[in-house]
Amino acid sequence: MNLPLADAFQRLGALDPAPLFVLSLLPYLAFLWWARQVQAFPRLALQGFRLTLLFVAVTIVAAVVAERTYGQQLADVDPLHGGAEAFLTLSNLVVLLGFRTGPAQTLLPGSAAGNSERPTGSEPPAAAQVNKS
Amino acid sequence: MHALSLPTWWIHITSVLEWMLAILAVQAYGRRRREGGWRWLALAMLPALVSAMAACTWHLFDNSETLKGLVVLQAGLTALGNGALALAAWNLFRQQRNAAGEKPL
Repeated sequence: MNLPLADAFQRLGALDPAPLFVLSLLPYLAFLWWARQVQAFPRLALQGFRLTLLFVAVTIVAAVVAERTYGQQLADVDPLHGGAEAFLTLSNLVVLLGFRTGPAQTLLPGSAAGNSERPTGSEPPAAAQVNKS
Repeated sequence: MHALSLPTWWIHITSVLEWMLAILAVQAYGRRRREGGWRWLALAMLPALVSAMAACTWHLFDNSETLKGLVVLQAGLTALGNGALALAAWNLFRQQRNAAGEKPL
Protein backbone atom coordinates (compact mmCIF):
# COMPACT_ATOMS: atom_id res chain seq x y z
CA MET A 1 0.00 0.00 0.00
CA ASN A 2 2.38 2.69 -1.17
CA LEU A 3 -0.15 4.91 -2.87
CA PRO A 4 1.04 8.52 -2.88
CA LEU A 5 -2.35 9.66 -1.59
CA ALA A 6 -2.16 7.23 1.32
CA ASP A 7 1.30 8.58 2.16
CA ALA A 8 0.01 12.13 2.14
CA PHE A 9 -2.88 11.08 4.36
CA GLN A 10 -0.47 9.46 6.84
CA ARG A 11 1.64 12.62 6.96
CA LEU A 12 -1.53 14.63 7.46
CA GLY A 13 -2.40 12.45 10.42
CA ALA A 14 0.91 13.29 12.07
CA LEU A 15 -0.07 16.94 12.33
CA ASP A 16 -1.70 18.40 15.42
CA PRO A 17 -5.24 19.52 14.55
CA ALA A 18 -5.62 21.65 17.71
CA PRO A 19 -4.08 24.88 16.33
CA LEU A 20 -6.34 24.65 13.27
CA PHE A 21 -9.41 24.39 15.49
CA VAL A 22 -8.25 27.41 17.49
CA LEU A 23 -7.48 29.35 14.32
CA SER A 24 -10.92 28.60 12.88
CA LEU A 25 -12.48 30.55 15.73
CA LEU A 26 -11.29 33.90 14.34
CA PRO A 27 -13.13 33.78 10.98
CA TYR A 28 -16.18 32.45 12.85
CA LEU A 29 -16.22 35.53 15.08
CA ALA A 30 -15.88 37.68 11.94
CA PHE A 31 -18.83 35.78 10.47
CA LEU A 32 -20.97 36.55 13.54
CA TRP A 33 -19.81 40.16 13.48
CA TRP A 34 -21.01 40.74 9.91
CA ALA A 35 -24.11 38.55 10.14
CA ARG A 36 -25.31 40.61 13.10
CA GLN A 37 -25.20 43.75 10.97
CA VAL A 38 -27.29 42.25 8.17
CA GLN A 39 -30.82 43.37 8.98
CA ALA A 40 -32.39 40.58 6.93
CA PHE A 41 -30.44 37.91 8.82
CA PRO A 42 -33.07 35.98 10.82
CA ARG A 43 -32.41 36.77 14.49
CA LEU A 44 -33.22 33.21 15.57
CA ALA A 45 -30.69 31.80 13.08
CA LEU A 46 -28.11 34.23 14.44
CA GLN A 47 -28.81 32.95 17.95
CA GLY A 48 -28.26 29.43 16.62
CA PHE A 49 -24.90 30.37 15.13
CA ARG A 50 -23.96 31.98 18.46
CA LEU A 51 -24.97 28.79 20.28
CA THR A 52 -22.28 27.03 18.23
CA LEU A 53 -19.77 28.97 20.34
CA LEU A 54 -21.36 27.43 23.43
CA PHE A 55 -20.86 24.00 21.80
CA VAL A 56 -17.19 24.84 21.28
CA ALA A 57 -16.80 25.93 24.91
CA VAL A 58 -18.55 22.80 26.23
CA THR A 59 -16.42 20.62 23.93
CA ILE A 60 -13.21 22.16 25.26
CA VAL A 61 -14.28 21.58 28.88
CA ALA A 62 -15.41 18.02 28.09
CA ALA A 63 -12.11 17.27 26.36
CA VAL A 64 -10.14 18.47 29.38
CA VAL A 65 -12.31 16.37 31.72
CA ALA A 66 -11.92 13.30 29.48
CA GLU A 67 -8.15 13.74 29.48
CA ARG A 68 -7.73 14.44 33.20
CA THR A 69 -10.31 12.04 34.60
CA TYR A 70 -10.08 9.15 32.17
CA GLY A 71 -6.77 9.79 30.43
CA GLN A 72 -8.56 9.46 27.09
CA GLN A 73 -9.45 11.66 24.13
CA LEU A 74 -13.00 13.05 24.18
CA ALA A 75 -14.21 10.85 21.30
CA ASP A 76 -13.43 7.75 23.37
CA VAL A 77 -15.44 8.81 26.45
CA ASP A 78 -18.92 8.26 25.10
CA PRO A 79 -21.15 10.14 27.61
CA LEU A 80 -18.94 13.24 27.51
CA HIS A 81 -18.66 13.00 23.72
CA GLY A 82 -22.41 12.63 23.17
CA GLY A 83 -23.22 15.24 25.81
CA ALA A 84 -20.97 17.84 24.18
CA GLU A 85 -22.15 17.04 20.66
CA ALA A 86 -25.77 17.49 21.78
CA PHE A 87 -25.05 21.22 22.03
CA LEU A 88 -24.28 21.23 18.30
CA THR A 89 -27.53 19.38 17.62
CA LEU A 90 -29.32 22.13 19.54
CA SER A 91 -27.56 25.01 17.80
CA ASN A 92 -28.05 23.52 14.33
CA LEU A 93 -31.75 23.08 15.11
CA VAL A 94 -32.04 26.75 16.06
CA VAL A 95 -30.22 27.78 12.85
CA LEU A 96 -32.59 25.62 10.81
CA LEU A 97 -35.71 26.96 12.53
CA GLY A 98 -34.40 30.50 12.18
CA PHE A 99 -34.23 30.29 8.40
CA ARG A 100 -37.46 28.33 8.08
CA THR A 101 -39.45 30.91 10.04
CA GLY A 102 -37.45 34.02 9.05
CA PRO A 103 -39.28 37.00 7.61
CA ALA A 104 -39.30 37.03 3.82
CA GLN A 105 -40.11 40.72 3.51
CA THR A 106 -37.50 43.42 3.36
CA LEU A 107 -37.94 46.08 6.00
CA LEU A 108 -39.77 49.06 4.57
CA PRO A 109 -37.60 52.11 3.93
CA GLY A 110 -37.69 54.27 7.01
CA SER A 111 -38.55 51.46 9.39
CA ALA A 112 -34.88 50.65 9.95
CA ALA A 113 -34.44 53.04 12.82
CA GLY A 114 -31.03 54.06 14.02
CA ASN A 115 -29.21 53.33 10.79
CA SER A 116 -26.33 55.73 11.20
CA GLU A 117 -24.21 54.37 8.35
CA ARG A 118 -26.47 55.79 5.72
CA PRO A 119 -24.50 57.44 2.91
CA THR A 120 -25.20 61.12 2.53
CA GLY A 121 -27.11 60.91 -0.74
CA SER A 122 -27.03 63.70 -3.26
CA GLU A 123 -30.64 63.05 -4.21
CA PRO A 124 -33.33 65.14 -2.60
CA PRO A 125 -35.83 63.16 -0.48
CA ALA A 126 -38.50 63.61 -3.13
CA ALA A 127 -36.45 61.66 -5.67
CA ALA A 128 -36.10 58.83 -3.18
CA GLN A 129 -39.85 58.66 -2.85
CA VAL A 130 -40.26 58.32 -6.60
CA ASN A 131 -37.52 55.72 -6.81
CA LYS A 132 -39.14 53.32 -4.41
CA SER A 133 -40.87 50.54 -6.24
CA MET B 1 -18.37 1.53 15.02
CA HIS B 2 -18.80 0.68 18.69
CA ALA B 3 -16.71 3.54 20.03
CA LEU B 4 -19.96 5.48 20.00
CA SER B 5 -23.14 4.35 21.74
CA LEU B 6 -26.38 4.40 19.79
CA PRO B 7 -27.61 7.65 21.44
CA THR B 8 -24.30 9.36 20.64
CA TRP B 9 -24.61 8.19 17.03
CA TRP B 10 -28.10 9.63 16.80
CA ILE B 11 -26.90 12.95 18.22
CA HIS B 12 -24.23 13.04 15.50
CA ILE B 13 -26.56 12.02 12.68
CA THR B 14 -29.21 14.53 13.77
CA SER B 15 -26.66 17.36 13.80
CA VAL B 16 -25.56 16.54 10.26
CA LEU B 17 -29.15 16.21 8.96
CA GLU B 18 -30.10 19.52 10.56
CA TRP B 19 -27.11 21.21 8.92
CA MET B 20 -28.10 19.79 5.51
CA LEU B 21 -31.67 21.03 5.96
CA ALA B 22 -30.34 24.40 7.15
CA ILE B 23 -28.36 24.76 3.89
CA LEU B 24 -31.56 24.11 1.93
CA ALA B 25 -33.49 26.51 4.20
CA VAL B 26 -30.94 29.28 3.54
CA GLN B 27 -31.37 28.75 -0.21
CA ALA B 28 -35.16 28.86 0.12
CA TYR B 29 -34.89 31.98 2.26
CA GLY B 30 -32.85 33.68 -0.48
CA ARG B 31 -35.44 32.72 -3.09
CA ARG B 32 -38.24 34.15 -0.95
CA ARG B 33 -36.33 37.39 -0.50
CA ARG B 34 -35.04 37.44 -4.11
CA GLU B 35 -31.52 38.13 -2.91
CA GLY B 36 -28.56 36.28 -4.38
CA GLY B 37 -26.27 36.66 -1.39
CA TRP B 38 -28.02 33.90 0.55
CA ARG B 39 -27.00 31.30 -2.04
CA TRP B 40 -23.37 32.16 -1.32
CA LEU B 41 -24.05 31.68 2.37
CA ALA B 42 -25.59 28.26 1.64
CA LEU B 43 -22.52 27.37 -0.43
CA ALA B 44 -20.25 28.57 2.38
CA MET B 45 -21.95 26.08 4.72
CA LEU B 46 -20.77 23.11 2.62
CA PRO B 47 -17.17 22.80 3.92
CA ALA B 48 -18.54 22.30 7.44
CA LEU B 49 -20.74 19.51 6.08
CA VAL B 50 -17.75 17.73 4.55
CA SER B 51 -15.86 18.37 7.79
CA ALA B 52 -18.65 16.68 9.76
CA MET B 53 -18.57 13.69 7.41
CA ALA B 54 -14.82 13.33 7.94
CA ALA B 55 -15.41 13.31 11.70
CA CYS B 56 -18.23 10.77 11.44
CA THR B 57 -16.07 8.53 9.22
CA TRP B 58 -13.36 8.62 11.88
CA HIS B 59 -15.92 7.65 14.54
CA LEU B 60 -17.22 4.89 12.25
CA PHE B 61 -13.73 3.37 12.36
CA ASP B 62 -13.62 3.57 16.17
CA ASN B 63 -11.50 6.75 16.26
CA SER B 64 -8.59 4.82 14.80
CA GLU B 65 -5.12 6.23 15.39
CA THR B 66 -4.12 5.39 11.80
CA LEU B 67 -7.01 7.48 10.49
CA LYS B 68 -6.02 10.55 12.53
CA GLY B 69 -5.64 12.35 9.19
CA LEU B 70 -9.44 12.59 9.11
CA VAL B 71 -9.37 14.73 12.25
CA VAL B 72 -6.78 17.06 10.68
CA LEU B 73 -8.99 17.17 7.58
CA GLN B 74 -11.95 18.02 9.81
CA ALA B 75 -9.99 20.84 11.46
CA GLY B 76 -8.77 22.21 8.12
CA LEU B 77 -12.23 22.17 6.59
CA THR B 78 -13.64 23.86 9.71
CA ALA B 79 -11.13 26.71 9.33
CA LEU B 80 -11.83 26.94 5.60
CA GLY B 81 -15.60 26.79 6.12
CA ASN B 82 -15.57 29.47 8.79
CA GLY B 83 -13.56 31.72 6.48
CA ALA B 84 -16.14 31.10 3.75
CA LEU B 85 -18.97 31.93 6.19
CA ALA B 86 -17.24 35.19 7.11
CA LEU B 87 -16.90 36.13 3.42
CA ALA B 88 -20.54 35.26 2.73
CA ALA B 89 -21.78 37.37 5.67
CA TRP B 90 -19.53 40.25 4.60
CA ASN B 91 -21.01 39.96 1.10
CA LEU B 92 -24.57 40.14 2.51
CA PHE B 93 -23.56 43.18 4.55
CA ARG B 94 -22.00 44.81 1.47
CA GLN B 95 -25.14 44.20 -0.61
CA GLN B 96 -27.30 45.67 2.13
CA ARG B 97 -25.12 48.78 2.07
CA ASN B 98 -25.32 49.06 -1.71
CA ALA B 99 -29.09 48.68 -1.63
CA ALA B 100 -29.28 51.42 1.01
CA GLY B 101 -27.15 53.63 -1.23
CA GLU B 102 -29.51 53.22 -4.17
CA LYS B 103 -32.59 53.97 -2.09
CA PRO B 104 -31.67 56.56 0.54
CA LEU B 105 -33.92 56.20 3.53
